[in-house]
Amino acid sequence: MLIHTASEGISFAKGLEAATAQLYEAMAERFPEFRDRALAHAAENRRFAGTIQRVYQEVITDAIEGCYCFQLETEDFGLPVVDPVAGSVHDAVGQAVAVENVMIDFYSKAQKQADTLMADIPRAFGTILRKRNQRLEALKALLCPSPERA
Amino acid sequence: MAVLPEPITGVKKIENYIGGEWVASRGEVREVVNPATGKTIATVPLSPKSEFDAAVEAARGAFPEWRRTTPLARARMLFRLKDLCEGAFEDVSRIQTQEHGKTIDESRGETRRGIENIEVACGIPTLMQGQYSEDIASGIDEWLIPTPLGVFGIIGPFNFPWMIPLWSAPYAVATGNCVVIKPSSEVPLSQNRLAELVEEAGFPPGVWNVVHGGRDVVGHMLDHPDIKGITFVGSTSIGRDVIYKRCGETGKRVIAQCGAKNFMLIMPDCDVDRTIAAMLTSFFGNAGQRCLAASNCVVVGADDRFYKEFVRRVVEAARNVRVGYGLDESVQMGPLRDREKRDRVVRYIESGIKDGAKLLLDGRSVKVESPCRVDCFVGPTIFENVTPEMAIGSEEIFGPVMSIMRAGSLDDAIAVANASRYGNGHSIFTSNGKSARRFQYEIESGNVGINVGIVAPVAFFPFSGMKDSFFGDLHTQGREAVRFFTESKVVIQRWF
Repeated sequence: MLIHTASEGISFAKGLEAATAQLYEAMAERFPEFRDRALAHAAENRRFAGTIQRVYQEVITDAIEGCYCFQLETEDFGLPVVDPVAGSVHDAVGQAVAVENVMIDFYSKAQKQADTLMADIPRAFGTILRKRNQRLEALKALLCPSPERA
Repeated sequence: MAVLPEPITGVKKIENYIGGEWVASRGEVREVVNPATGKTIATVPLSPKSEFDAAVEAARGAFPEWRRTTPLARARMLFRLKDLCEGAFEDVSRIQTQEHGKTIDESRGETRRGIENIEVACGIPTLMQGQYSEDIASGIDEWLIPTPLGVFGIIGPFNFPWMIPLWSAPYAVATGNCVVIKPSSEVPLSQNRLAELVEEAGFPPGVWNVVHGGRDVVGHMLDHPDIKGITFVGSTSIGRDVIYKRCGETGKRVIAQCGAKNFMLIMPDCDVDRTIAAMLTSFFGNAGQRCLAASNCVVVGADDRFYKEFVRRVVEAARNVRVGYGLDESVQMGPLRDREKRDRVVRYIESGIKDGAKLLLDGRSVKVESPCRVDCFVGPTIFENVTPEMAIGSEEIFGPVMSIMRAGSLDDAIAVANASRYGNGHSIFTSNGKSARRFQYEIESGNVGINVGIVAPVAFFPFSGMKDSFFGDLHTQGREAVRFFTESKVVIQRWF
């Protein structure tokens, strides 16, 4: 389904954040050694959702093209079907990496297209994108520990 | 995407808010119908004179103490109101969609614009500062004190049920006046929700009153000796021939913001993609029911290839606009406010065909999905070969109809726009600064857009208007509103 309106775009982003927060919470419950990190990610996801909502409400106005700002295909951002409690913690981190790649792809495209929505929304998307890239690198590092740590 | 939940369920009985109390009216009632679904969502009273008089009396009674309340204390109350509005943001936005039909993005935009006026009015301690000159003559000082006048009337239109009374009311009460608001009887719910928030914010009884009704209430407001001034947004015929005229006769201050026929000039050097998105919003947003909606599109230049390709792309984009119930987040355009307004727009489309304009896109047969009823919908409609002599090229349609004209040069296009009797919100789309400046300089329009489709001034700028689009001197919003709602008292002092 193609997303056009600001309202749809924001709801979709919030939905992705909520879904990934739940995923991390399930991982936290299953893997004690991953618990702190997973819960931190879940909490951050919920903050991201709150930020997106707040920024949208603060800038939405009839001076911008709110009903014509996105061309995002939702099917491009389907979260990988994962079972967060199956397998090892290594598998769970691998699944988290796959999810984060989808989120990064979404925010990259949404940030560019949100250019018409004043500076605030693309800036918020950009901030989330930066933090998610940092998170992705940290998760990847868990998958491939350095020789010193090994 | 799912349809968002409706905040109004069942049929709400609308009451007046007078002297800090919710009062059932004795007037006859009308139904308020959601134009998208056809469901009755409220009944609104047509209040009798006695109820309007009671509201003015309550406001008059509250005025002396409210005037003595310090500007800082009044600002704190407005800060509380702003905070409450933020908390109710989604609720009030969805109410607007239910009662008016606009999309949820448009409603949220309206909510934000309204709140911005409360925010600006929170600056009243500095906005209301006077002036002082020492030694205007030897040993004599002179100063100016802006003082409130008493009770003001605010008449709201149907197209922005939440925002437009907020162009005036926050400044009126911030400066120490009291208000009686008469919302449009077609969309009364938003102003009652706002009054609930006003009550919760702790405004003293009588400072903020809401009386529902129709023309009778407007008539009482115009004639009432204790109403010091009126702000009005509506049609030119009512604004000029009734509101402005009668306020002159009764010695009231007046701001009458009226109709429009806005021109959008398209230069061949414009950014086509961005221009088309702005055009869709401007011509078809709010189903064209904006006094700042573009109505005539003038494509400038003799380049036929540019013209044909541009028009083709505009028509294609307009054809794909998703029309339906505004609480469906994927919807880009809602219905007209009611069946009569829809029929009026259809009559204009028929007149355009009859007058010889070429219909490129016909919105009369628009398809909408459940839960919508088709009664109030007209889809995006586009004509070309329109001339300023045609009714669709000269009169305010207040619907989603784009009339495309051509002009050989920028000067010709400006001349066509300036020949209109309206001057509300004309705009130009260009990447050439010289063209933009020439347009800004020459165009007779109170609000001027350069690569902006809807020229809505933010709260700290006046909402302007020229010619038959505005009657009065000062405007709503910002510093001009503060001036409107205050009298200049000048003191000259000498001590022996």
